[in-house]
Amino acid sequence: MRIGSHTTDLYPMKRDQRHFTKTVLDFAPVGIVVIDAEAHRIIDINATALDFFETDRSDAVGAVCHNFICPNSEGNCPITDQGKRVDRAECDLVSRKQRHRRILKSVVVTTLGGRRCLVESFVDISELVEERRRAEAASRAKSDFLSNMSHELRTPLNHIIGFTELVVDQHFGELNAVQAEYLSDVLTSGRHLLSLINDILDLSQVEAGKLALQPNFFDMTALLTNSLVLVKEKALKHGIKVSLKAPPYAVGMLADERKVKQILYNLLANAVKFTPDGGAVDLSVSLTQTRPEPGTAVAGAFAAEPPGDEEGWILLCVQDSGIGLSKTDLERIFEPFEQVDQSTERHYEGTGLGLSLTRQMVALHGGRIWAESDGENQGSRFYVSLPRQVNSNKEQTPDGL
Amino acid sequence: MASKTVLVVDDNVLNRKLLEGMLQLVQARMLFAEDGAEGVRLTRRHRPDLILMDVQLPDMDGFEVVSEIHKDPDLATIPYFYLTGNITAEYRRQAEGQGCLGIVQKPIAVAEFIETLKKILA
Repeated sequence: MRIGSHTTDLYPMKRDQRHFTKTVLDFAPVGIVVIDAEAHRIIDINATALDFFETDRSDAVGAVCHNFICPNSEGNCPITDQGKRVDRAECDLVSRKQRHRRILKSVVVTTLGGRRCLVESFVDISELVEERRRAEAASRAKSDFLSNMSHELRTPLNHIIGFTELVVDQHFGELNAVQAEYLSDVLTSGRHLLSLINDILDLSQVEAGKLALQPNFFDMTALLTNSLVLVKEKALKHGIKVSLKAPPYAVGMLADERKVKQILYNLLANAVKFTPDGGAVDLSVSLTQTRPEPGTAVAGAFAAEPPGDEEGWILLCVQDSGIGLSKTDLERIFEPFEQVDQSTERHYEGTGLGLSLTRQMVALHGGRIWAESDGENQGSRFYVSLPRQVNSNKEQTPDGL
Repeated sequence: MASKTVLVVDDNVLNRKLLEGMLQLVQARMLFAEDGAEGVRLTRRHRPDLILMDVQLPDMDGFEVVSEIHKDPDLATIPYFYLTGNITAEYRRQAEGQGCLGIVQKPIAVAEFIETLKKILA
């Protein structure tokens, strides 16, 4: 090659070009076979393919390709008989020594020397297939283990929480102040342990790819109202005011109601948790035609009349007057095990799994979740966009962000 | 007023004891079975007003026990709850097919469950 030359002609001599091509074809770690499209007989073959076939040129050239590749497709070739394109398809290779391998092959139909030909190239993926099998088995084993552990852990927890609750409610006799207080503490810890177990199980199911959507029809307005009830008690204890801005009409949704409840509960619980006493937490919903985007989304915007159709999007917004989020926080908070820097006085418990799980559940619906904050102690706003009708066939955002 | 009878089918002694504590508060008569076969036997013998059925039992699962009980059309009308430490989609599917009152996830929310029991046994 002449440096500084504009020409793409790497091979001033045709002989050099043929040599280059032959070298590349013979030494590429890819099997290449040229096949006559009518007779399915091998016309040409490279060294790598011969290695895989465990034979020599004289045996391979002229042989029917199905003797070696895709033996089960003989007479039913997807390309010549079904007119399909074969691009990166897995199939079987059988060598002359009856050794089987899984290969990944691509086929191009072309004309060479006046003949219609198939140019097949393939790579060996046996190791990949084996690794895949091992990974699937390991995943199944892990999933079974977790399922059993979940049951094992919840059984004694059921006893701890159940018996303590019966005694604390003084159904079986009065308690003095200290007894009541200590048992109440036992109950609190028991419930905390339960939420940890639930989080761990949920997260592991997500990792195993098992968190599936189970959509049903429900009224979003009713769900929002009920969600607030769950956090009202805790909020009242800290003098935090909770408010809801929702339409005066029902909003039909087709989504996984339990997961939407979990999403809301997580955001509301966080809002209450990270807001100092006397603050405020507001929940609002907007209805839009197109998907709400960060920056342009408007909270609490809905028409006086219910929307005529079932299409469109909802935007949930949980706003709090709490400790806010720094720029670094905003980047990290949706990662698993990340928690906001806790240099405040109130002890914030938690596993750091909540937002990561929440994001997964939002993503499953094809929605998005994002957070905004004007800075430290300036409160935060968490937005969740969800389609009013989840369509598991639709393209979903890869990670809900 | 005649008090109602509740059958508890659970192989774990503390599970049974906890349910016993709750059932005492709703003044129900109680029957206890430690496995599926006994659960079927006691149902046929005493025709309880409500059955609390653990899903995981040593000899068969709760769904099989209910199938067995339902072979008798007279017993098929008895209301029942499934109780389990781990509700899976599979359980939900099977339970829905059988027409139970619901699947209760353990740990049980005691106060709520007691209210539910009161309503059903009224």
